[in-house]
Amino acid sequence: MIKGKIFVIKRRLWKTEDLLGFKDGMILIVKNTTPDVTVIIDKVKAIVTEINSPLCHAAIIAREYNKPILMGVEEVTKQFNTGEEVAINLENETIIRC
Amino acid sequence: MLDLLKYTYIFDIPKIKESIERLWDRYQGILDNKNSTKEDLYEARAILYCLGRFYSEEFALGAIKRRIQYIKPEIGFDKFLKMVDSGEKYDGYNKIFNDLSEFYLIVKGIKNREKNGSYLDEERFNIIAKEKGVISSHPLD
Repeated sequence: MIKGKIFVIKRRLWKTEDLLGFKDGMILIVKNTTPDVTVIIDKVKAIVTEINSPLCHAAIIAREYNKPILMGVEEVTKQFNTGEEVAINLENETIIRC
Repeated sequence: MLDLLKYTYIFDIPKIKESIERLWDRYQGILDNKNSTKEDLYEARAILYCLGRFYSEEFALGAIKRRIQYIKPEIGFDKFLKMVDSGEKYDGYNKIFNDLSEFYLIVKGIKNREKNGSYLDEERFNIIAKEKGVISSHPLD
């Protein structure tokens, strides 16, 4: 179980500027990552995405940096907002508000 | 695009790489050309979707999954990806492992390709396509 504060990017095509306010240890929630994520990847506690493919950018970056990832959560960027506390269960593939 | 699929079926890695670069060059050529027509931009849109999603996340995925069983000694799909991504040394596997690694790194190259500050030059595509009235939403949405 991974718990923490979330940082949500609702736009699909996002850039480094959208990461303003991201703090160390936050869980990143996005539709998918882009190469810009490398700017903060060391500070990311976990990644949650809407997209679901072992070869999507987020999956690749998670493996490269050894970060936990939960993929394929439908409309997760609409369901949650930056600053909320969540708990992620990677085994059951669920994310809930704390 | 058909070439890319064909060479992936027969797993000719140099030709796969060449086909990807040819598509990328065509895509860039369309975006660079001020006289590109709507038809050209629809083609650019198709290339963007193909490289950015369909090929890299679905077709290539299938190509790796189908062949992973031929790696000796046996290795699971997740472990294979993890090994290549972590840069772990992988001595002792057969040629299929090296071929699949090379292929996967080519696919990763697409996923990490940025131009003009955006993934696969999407931002520029969006601007041009909207100017020409080609899209109302993005091909990767």
